[in-house]
Amino acid sequence: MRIVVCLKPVPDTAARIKVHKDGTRVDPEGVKFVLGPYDARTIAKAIELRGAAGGGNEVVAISAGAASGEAEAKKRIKDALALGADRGVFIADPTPENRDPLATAKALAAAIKGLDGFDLVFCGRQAVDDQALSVGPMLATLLGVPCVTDAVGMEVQGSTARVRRAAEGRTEVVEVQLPAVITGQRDLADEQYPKLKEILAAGKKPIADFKFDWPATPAYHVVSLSPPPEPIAGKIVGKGPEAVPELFKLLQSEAKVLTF
Amino acid sequence: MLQANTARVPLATDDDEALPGGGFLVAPVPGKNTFTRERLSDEQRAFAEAADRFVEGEVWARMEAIEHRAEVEGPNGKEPLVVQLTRQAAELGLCSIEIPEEHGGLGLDLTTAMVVSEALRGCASFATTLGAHSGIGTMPIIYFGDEAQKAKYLPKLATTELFSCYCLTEPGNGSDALGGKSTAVRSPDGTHFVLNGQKQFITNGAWADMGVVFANIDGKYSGLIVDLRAPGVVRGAEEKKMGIKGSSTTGLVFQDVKVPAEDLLGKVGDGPAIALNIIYVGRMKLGFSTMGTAKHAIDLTVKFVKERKQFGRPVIGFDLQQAKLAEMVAWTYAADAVCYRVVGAVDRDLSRLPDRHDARGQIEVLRRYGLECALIKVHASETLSRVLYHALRMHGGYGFCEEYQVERLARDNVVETIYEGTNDINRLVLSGALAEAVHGSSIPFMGFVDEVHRGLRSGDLDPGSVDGWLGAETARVFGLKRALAWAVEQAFIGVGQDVRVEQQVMCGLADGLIALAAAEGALAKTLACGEGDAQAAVRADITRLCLLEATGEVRRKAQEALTHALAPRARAEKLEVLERLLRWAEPAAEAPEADAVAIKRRIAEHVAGRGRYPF
Ligand SMILES: Cc1cc2nc3c(=O)[nH]c(=O)nc-3n(C[C@H](O)[C@H](O)[C@H](O)COP(=O)(O)OP(=O)(O)OC[C@H]3O[C@@H](n4cnc5c(N)ncnc54)[C@H](O)[C@@H]3O)c2cc1C
Repeated sequence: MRIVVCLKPVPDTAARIKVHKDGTRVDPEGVKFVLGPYDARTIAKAIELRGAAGGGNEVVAISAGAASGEAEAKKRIKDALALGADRGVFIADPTPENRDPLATAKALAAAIKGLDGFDLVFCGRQAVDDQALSVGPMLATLLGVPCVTDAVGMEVQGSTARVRRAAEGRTEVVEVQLPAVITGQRDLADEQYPKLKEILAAGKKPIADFKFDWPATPAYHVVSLSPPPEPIAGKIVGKGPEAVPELFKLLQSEAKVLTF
Repeated sequence: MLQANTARVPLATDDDEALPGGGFLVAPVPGKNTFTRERLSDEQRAFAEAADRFVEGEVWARMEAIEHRAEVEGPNGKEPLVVQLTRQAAELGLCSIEIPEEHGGLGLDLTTAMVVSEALRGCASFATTLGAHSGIGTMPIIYFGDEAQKAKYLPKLATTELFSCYCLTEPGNGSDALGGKSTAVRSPDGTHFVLNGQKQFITNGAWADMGVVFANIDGKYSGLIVDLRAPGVVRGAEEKKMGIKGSSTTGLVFQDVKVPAEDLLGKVGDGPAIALNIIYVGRMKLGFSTMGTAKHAIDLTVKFVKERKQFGRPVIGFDLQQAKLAEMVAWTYAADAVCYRVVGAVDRDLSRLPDRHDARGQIEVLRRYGLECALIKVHASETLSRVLYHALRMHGGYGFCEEYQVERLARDNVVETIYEGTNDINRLVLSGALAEAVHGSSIPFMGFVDEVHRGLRSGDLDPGSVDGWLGAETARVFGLKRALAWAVEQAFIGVGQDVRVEQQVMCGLADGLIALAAAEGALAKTLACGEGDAQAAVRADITRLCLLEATGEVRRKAQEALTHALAPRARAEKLEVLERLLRWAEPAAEAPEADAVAIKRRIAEHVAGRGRYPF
């Protein structure tokens, strides 16, 4: 079985994000990039499935050029390798600032098609920076395989996967024929921490460069990006059950989210 | 580029040429090749990030439970959470960094061990637990164990299958650590020792399976590996402590405990060597973890003062709070610079050993850096104290409440100035080592001071100039070295044979040396980072602030020390000389770098914009 994990370096959500002076994107200066929280879970799941499937299987981590730049992206691929992925593929992008989800999906599809077959492709449900939620489904379309979104759990039996998806307050269990693209939620797997030994081993695992002819102009582009409004300071009204009446009152009178 | 005006000690060099044992006092100011955090390898960075994530995801998330000594069900049954977390950390490899590969460890360099110590920030209960196990509880076996002992213990220590501790302190012997009263008597048939005695303040005392225990064998202090589950071992009650409440600190009583002869560590009488040599790395690690905690305290505080509003605006908008934030960042920046400069130098020397993994060779290198290890320990732990002093107060009343982390950090910080040698003891170690280096000529002190005297006689004190970015600051750091080195010489002459008695004078010199290390470290780091990136101007401001503060500190401490050490008749003249020398460490009054108030505002504005400790 070959499992592909698509990943993207995203700004650390604890970091303060500033809008670039061109007004259309996040200013990468001074931002710490990390493996996205959804990507971290899909990697963990991929490693788990590889283990369950026995020998002769591999997990391939792929990243397509990112705003963070090549060095950062390769470091994040290394993160995946340290978590147990077997090899990496990096798709360089000379002009990442005018990229859109379709172009990214095309690049990933090209690299995956070049892999000599695949059984499963994981994407995070979304990247926490642009939140487009579209690369996974687009990628499935381009690869001509089914897509299951928002997975919170899954097992593989032969050539079918049974996937639990979280859908607005209910859980749906679906069966899908492999190969397929799965986009993962946080609950897909427990967060894993890399072992120092694996970090050492990751240094020796290969990262291949895949060349892709990026479209010259994006299918869509961001016209402007504005930061969120300043958050309103929170208020602690007390602790435990005694605080509930006061909280209730404030939710009615001040926040006006309860109207009864 | 460098234009020293004669062939004396050059004012500055690109490399860090300071000799171990205080050589930086009289060495050229190091420049762009100085080792800094920025020069960590990708792998070392990845180690740091892995430890960072573990601490954030598993330790910080459960801090309250840790502090209340919560017990949780795990593979080993019900255990304190902090023990479980240590086991989890061991799984990731955090307990085997220094254990050689052939004994189940990773055998990584000292820098890696320190980067990970830095990551174990803001969670002193956990860091202390882990450190007592994998640091002082394991290192003696790595350094002094024979092959059989290493094979028997190290693989199990790496995984925490055996949990360890370090038993040196006794009720009557804390700082006077080598005077312990415990005894181990060899059995007539020579197969074992019979251990009797009492140990005090033992971290992990409640749950350790084994310990490195010091006791007198035939009147010679020696180290033993002791099975704490053996009959005759009595664990004392848990101390009710001010801080690190999640950790265990107990007494241990040994009553006729049988210790197999093969568990003697090293030879009879190796106790002092073991205790002294273990402490170098321990001090360095404590330096790194307190420095890491200072960064964390800054992050917490920036977030708070940006959100907290008074008089209609965020508290960070007030000049006074900006000044505090700037100081916190500058002090921490200097601590970071000093820590990495030293570990870089130690690792450089270790890498030159014919056999990198030879324990004796490693110990010899570390011993030479004993002064720097003590310096890091005092400087970083007290930098954290000062940072927390500000952090707590910048939180107003909330800083006094448990719900805000800084309250716990401030309580935890106290013990960091007490264990691994109290900071007093470390200052005495530092100044004692300096006296030894000066008298034993292991650093070129005399030549350097002679040069100062020549300058004083001829009236030509101009040290020459340095071209390029921060050239003036580089020359000023050199000026500070001359003033301090001269003061050290005068003070030593003044106290003569009374070096051990004149503790105030000696510790004043130690403080001067720490201040110099901080300013020089900050400058070297800034030069090493270069003027290319967006933060270069802020680094330069931080450097200038550190230099202004260091000059003030050296002046105060040197004045006090010299006033006492010198004959009253000589005071006026000598203090005037001190001033003449210090002038070369100061900016021109009209220069922008003389204005600390403006500098602090700029630093604070940048840090507030970044929303966290930004380097
Ligand atoms: C929470 C905690 C955990 C600890 N964990 C361990 C452990 O795991 N293993 C272990 O072996 N020990 C441990 N210790 C012990 C610790 O190392 C000692 O407490 C420390 O070395 C100080 O010794 P003391 O407490 O006996 O103080 P004392 O030595 O009695 O010191 C009292 C005061 O006198 C000063 N003083 C002492 N001698 C001199 C001198 N020559 N000149 C000037 N001033 C002097 C000291 O600086 C201090 O201010 C721990 C302590 C604590 C509090």
